[in-house]
Amino acid sequence: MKTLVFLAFRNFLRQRRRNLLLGSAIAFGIMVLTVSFAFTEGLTDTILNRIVIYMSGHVQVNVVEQGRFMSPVIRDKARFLDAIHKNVDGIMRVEESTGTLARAVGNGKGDYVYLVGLEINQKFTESFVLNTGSYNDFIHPSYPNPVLLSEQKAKGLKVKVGDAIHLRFQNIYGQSNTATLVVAAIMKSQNVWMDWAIFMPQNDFKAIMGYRPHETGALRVLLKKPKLAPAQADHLWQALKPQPAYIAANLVGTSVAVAPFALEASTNHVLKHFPVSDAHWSPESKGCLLSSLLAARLQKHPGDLLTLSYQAKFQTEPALFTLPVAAVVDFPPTLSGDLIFMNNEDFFKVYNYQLPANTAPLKQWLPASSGEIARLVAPEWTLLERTHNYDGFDKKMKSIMKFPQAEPITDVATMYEVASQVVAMEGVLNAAALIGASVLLFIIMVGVLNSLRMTIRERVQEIGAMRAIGIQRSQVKWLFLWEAFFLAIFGWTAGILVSAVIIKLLMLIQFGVDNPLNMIMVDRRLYFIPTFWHAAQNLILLLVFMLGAAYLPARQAANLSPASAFGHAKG
Amino acid sequence: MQSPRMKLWLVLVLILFTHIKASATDVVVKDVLRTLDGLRKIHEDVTAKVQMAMRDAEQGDKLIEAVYFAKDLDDTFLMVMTKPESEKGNGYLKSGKNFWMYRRNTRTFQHVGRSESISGTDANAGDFEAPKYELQYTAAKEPDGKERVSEELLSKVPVYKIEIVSSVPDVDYPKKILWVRQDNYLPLKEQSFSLSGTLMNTQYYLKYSEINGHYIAVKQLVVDEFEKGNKTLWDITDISFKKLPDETFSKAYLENLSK
Repeated sequence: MKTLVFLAFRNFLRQRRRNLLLGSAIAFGIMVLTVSFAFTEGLTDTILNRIVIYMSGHVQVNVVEQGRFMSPVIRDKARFLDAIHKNVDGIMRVEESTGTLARAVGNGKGDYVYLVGLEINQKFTESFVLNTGSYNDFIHPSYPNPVLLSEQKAKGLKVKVGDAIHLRFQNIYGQSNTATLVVAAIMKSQNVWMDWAIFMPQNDFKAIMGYRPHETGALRVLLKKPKLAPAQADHLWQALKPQPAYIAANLVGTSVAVAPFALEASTNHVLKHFPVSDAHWSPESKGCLLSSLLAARLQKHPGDLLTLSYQAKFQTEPALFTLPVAAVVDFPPTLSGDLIFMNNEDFFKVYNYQLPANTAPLKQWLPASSGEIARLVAPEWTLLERTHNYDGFDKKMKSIMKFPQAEPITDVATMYEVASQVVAMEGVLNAAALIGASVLLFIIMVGVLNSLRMTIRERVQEIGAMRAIGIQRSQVKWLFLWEAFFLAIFGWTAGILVSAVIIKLLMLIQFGVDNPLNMIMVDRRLYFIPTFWHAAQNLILLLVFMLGAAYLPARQAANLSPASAFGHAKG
Repeated sequence: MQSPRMKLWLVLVLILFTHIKASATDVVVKDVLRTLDGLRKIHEDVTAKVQMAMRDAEQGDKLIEAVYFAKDLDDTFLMVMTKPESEKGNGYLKSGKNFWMYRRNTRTFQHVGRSESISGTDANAGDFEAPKYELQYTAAKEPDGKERVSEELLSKVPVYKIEIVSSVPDVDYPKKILWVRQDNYLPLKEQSFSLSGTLMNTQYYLKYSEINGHYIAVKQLVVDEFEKGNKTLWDITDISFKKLPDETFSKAYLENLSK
């Protein structure tokens, strides 16, 4: 065997010109494959680790009130975090996603920006490369509202480190607000997404946006295995199914529960159980529906004001609200007379602002025996159906705009919905690279096949001599296969070396600011990640093609008898 | 040494002055706000031409013209752009809680938020709705509990200067200062402040017309105080209170108008 390998290697070196040409063709194919795979690997990294995780995380939980989808607000952050940690497996980390669109005015120049609240952790410095300024000024500022922005945005606003940026934006309640930010550091431009954003410490951001300590924007879940996001999102969605909304309150010494009518509750449906005599009354009417028992006890009539107090979940002092009596009606006997119904919009304006502690369960007022009356009560939030692609997700988002309701709308989505077009782009590019390179390799292999057939034809006499001195058919076959193997290794090594140089050169080119491909570039440069796995994959692919192409000519050579080989040579 | 007669005069002047001051502070802000809402609420259908001349310090001048139809009672309106050419045929329809934007090029309706800018201007749906000052605002108070109201002359017109703050969280501007005429409470000037107290814009009601017993601010100037140099001049003409059929406030009508 050793002699056979040696002979094959000697033959490989002997056929210098032909092997150089063939090896160059193979090297070209390998170079194209390596560069393509390194590019798609870089693209995947950019998409998943630099774009998608900032856009949506791998799984995202969003809560929107009043149709303000640009300013999501999760009122009970701890409850949602708990649901995530209990129902999602393989969590790498959970991040608060806070950001808003704002108008910024720098030194005489204005621009729209996306203001992002940045969680200061050990990882955050890895995402930025600073040009000027320091992280220290950002993390431990001696002035309020330090910000980090790209050199591109700094140029647009004509600001330098230490300059002020005046910002106009709407807070989570839709109120107009302003803030003065101070440039703590300017980072290198990485991609258009980063160029559009201005980053500030999350606590500062939440303060100017009106978030309280127990509140946050959306929650982004980053998984160890991002591709498992849909299944994990489905688990989480199940766990976030809402309970009925109510406020356990105190009304002149009486423990009452105030419950909102469900948005779907029609007037006819409600009147079936609560025969209100006022013809103009509907579940959307202002004020509350009081049982005749409670009204008699409190001596209240339609038009009177009720002042209720309740224990808020995140406040030590009791929360207060007033409610006019809209109608007094006999409640069904299955229901507690101390239950008060009110319209959905006004209820959630109170409820969202001060979530109740609700130490007593709703069944105390609304027992299970109340049957379909329970369905008249609104849930604590509307949980949107799970979708699995962008079209479905887009439809959901439009529905939020369509019904700007006070009742919170909760949604669980994955990167496959939120950023499905970006994620799909990665798959398409990967497939295109593989198909293109395979076609190229196939063409090269046809050349290899023809070339080997010619080699065998030229070396028929040599094959005859080898067979005459007793070399077995299988050994002749292996001799040619080993030659093909050496050719493949030579072509592959050359291809890898050339691709390394080409990748290095391509990464040096910096493209213009307006280049549409900027979104997939890093620092306005093409980004490649060559991996050992891809190099090995290319080698295996090449060997399969090469040995496959060489097998038939090698077998043909092996099958030659010494006599016919000499005869052929003479002829 | 002052004579007894002089002393008497001084006392009389002092009494008169005190009386005038007292009458100024006697103005109850809630009443003014209710009157303001009432004055500007038109219980009829409205058709008008609206012109918005915008001056942007960075982007230059822009003129937008639109035809506006409204059912004032329920905050329903429809608006179709007639100028400039790039905006022509685009429109907006607000009906109840629904607010749609129509794009002529794509012939599509899209739900948009109330705070969405109208054709890139600084106006939004709220600017075309009847004001709800009484529901949304209350008087700002001095430390002693008195309402912040004073008397002033604005371009020689006696006005009350009233400071109000939002009583509900979801309003655009948490603080406003209004200058309203003393004789009929019509606003002449309005300043809007952000939550942090920054003056965001000043609105001047330059000209009112009394049509069919309604006071309409036919010329208004909105000065952007945050980005200096930006301002918008509003001109409302061809006002009519003719009854409009219900079909006017429909997607089909907007699509038809935009052709």
